[in-house]
Amino acid sequence: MRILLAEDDVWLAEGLRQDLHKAGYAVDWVADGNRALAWGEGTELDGVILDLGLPGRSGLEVLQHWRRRGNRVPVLILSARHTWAEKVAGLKAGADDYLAKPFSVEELLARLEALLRRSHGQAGPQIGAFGLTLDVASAQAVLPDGQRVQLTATELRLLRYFLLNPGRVLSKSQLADRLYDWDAERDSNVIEVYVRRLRDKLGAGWIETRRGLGYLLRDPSQ
Amino acid sequence: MRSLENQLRLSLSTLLIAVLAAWLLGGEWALRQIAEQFVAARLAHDARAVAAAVASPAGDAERATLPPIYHQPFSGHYFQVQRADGGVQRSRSLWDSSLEVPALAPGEHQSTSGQGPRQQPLLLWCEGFSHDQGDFTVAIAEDMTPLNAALTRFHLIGFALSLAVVALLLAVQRRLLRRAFRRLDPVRSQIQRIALGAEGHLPEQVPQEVQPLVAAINHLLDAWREHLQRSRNSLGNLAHALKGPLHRLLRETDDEDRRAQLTRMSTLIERELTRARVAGRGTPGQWFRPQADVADLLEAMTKLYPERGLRMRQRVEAPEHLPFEREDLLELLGNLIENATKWAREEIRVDLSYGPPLELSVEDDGPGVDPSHLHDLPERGLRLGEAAPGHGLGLGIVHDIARLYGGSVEFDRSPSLGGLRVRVSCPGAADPLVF
Repeated sequence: MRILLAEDDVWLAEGLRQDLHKAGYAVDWVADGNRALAWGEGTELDGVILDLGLPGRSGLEVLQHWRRRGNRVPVLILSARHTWAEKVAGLKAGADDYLAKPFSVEELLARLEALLRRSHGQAGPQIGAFGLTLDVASAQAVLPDGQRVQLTATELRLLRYFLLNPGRVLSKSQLADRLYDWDAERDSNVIEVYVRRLRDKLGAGWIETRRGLGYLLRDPSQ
Repeated sequence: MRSLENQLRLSLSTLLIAVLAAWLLGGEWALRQIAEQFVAARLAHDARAVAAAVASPAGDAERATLPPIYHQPFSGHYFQVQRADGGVQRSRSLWDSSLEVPALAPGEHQSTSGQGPRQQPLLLWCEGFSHDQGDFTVAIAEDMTPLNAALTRFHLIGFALSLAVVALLLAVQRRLLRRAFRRLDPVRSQIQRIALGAEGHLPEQVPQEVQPLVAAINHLLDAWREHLQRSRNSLGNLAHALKGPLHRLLRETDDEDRRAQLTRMSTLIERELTRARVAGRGTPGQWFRPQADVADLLEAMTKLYPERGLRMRQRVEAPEHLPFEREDLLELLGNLIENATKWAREEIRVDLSYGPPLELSVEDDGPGVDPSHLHDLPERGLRLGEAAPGHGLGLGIVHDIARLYGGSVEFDRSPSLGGLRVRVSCPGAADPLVF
């Protein structure tokens, strides 16, 4: 999952970035409104954590701009201001959730995950598909028979993306986007390695290769 | 301070009365002059006729060619001839009375007023004539009573007309003034609206005389709004500035007790900031729009608590805009609805009506509050808020806002849903003219 973190408080952003990494997200961080706006336009993102008090251009303006252009990326607003007038303004501008500072990281992660789940049309309390679910807190995949499989951070990222897009063919570059931060070195051949490891852990049948196109998560019992 | 209208009316009526009085008096004097000269000229002619008869060989004044009126007793037209040798000849109309006739040298004449028989006011014309049988003076008189009566009548009519003119002019002036002041009505009603918190400025399309005043008030309004905006912004900035370090401390400390204190600190800061931001009636800002704002709040609640999946019902019976500061009522309602959202099982209800007063209630089908705690709910707010997030801090703020608008908050059991029902009632705007 690729998340844009738009937050001008360097210390807070650095902490959040690590927490988000640990929770299995690729994070792009920008510290001002104009860069946030451009980043949201040019990059395929799965979610945005947007501070309202950004320098350059306010978070609200950025959000309104995206929504006007038809950009439906899920947005969670982070703001030090929590009057209802501001919450209503933010949510009306097109935000999907609003979290007031100070907040606990656990709550942010829970809300972000719920947001991503909803944006992929999953109503359940956990990310999952075909009986396979993800326990993000312990970084474990839970198989239909209840068996738990420990995952590495990279595998967690990969499986989360598969689980949010079950039955859809995902290209190698799409997968790479969800694995790496924008400044990381990318090698799409490594994707094959990670997919193979994931297959080994989950068992055969879950991830199918479509030659030349990519991979897809499917129901192994079918 | 005396009203402009009264002041203008007083000065106009004084001026009018002075002018009309001068006109009436002057007119009467001129008329009397003309009438007396006219009568005197006729008397002079009659005097000549009498003199001619006296100077004739018969020497009898009775033979003068005069209208018969000189022969009727006390008719008001008289003559008397006074000879130098003492002989006197009188018109028959004088009967047995006589006129006071001065002895005048020939060629001399005078016109005086005097009194005749039966107290008749007379205009008396005397002229001296020479004659070879002795000089004589002719006095000829006319009763002025009919002329005086005519003049008095003219006087009365003139006076009545003047009164009518004064009254008419005053009425016209009043009408004109009212019309002029009516052009200020938009300014007045806009001032009332602004006093109740409406946005905007005073209309600048006003008579030139009040333009500087309106411009000055508009300037003041701008300054006031800017001041309010600035203080609100600086409060927001303060919140922003305080929360960074607090958040940092919260993250860095593992000590449970210290964490609790930090959390409490942060909620207290939040509470005071929210209190400080509550504006109250009469601050220039946006007005609350019940339909749109309640719908927006419920929509926001659905986004913030998507997992709750609650049925939210609203019933709003109010005009499009209400004279309450939008942020204040959003804060009040937001806190109530959030509480209800947290505690409800399946359903919450929001009712809002504006009579005035503004009556709103938020109820849920949650566990409700122990009846023994209902009355001190807001006071216990802070402690409750820490024990179980929900019926806490928010209620304190609800209380503050309601009090600011002179309203009240009541808690009881929802009759239809069974959970907590919070009812807020705030009186309407002070001026019924505007709404």
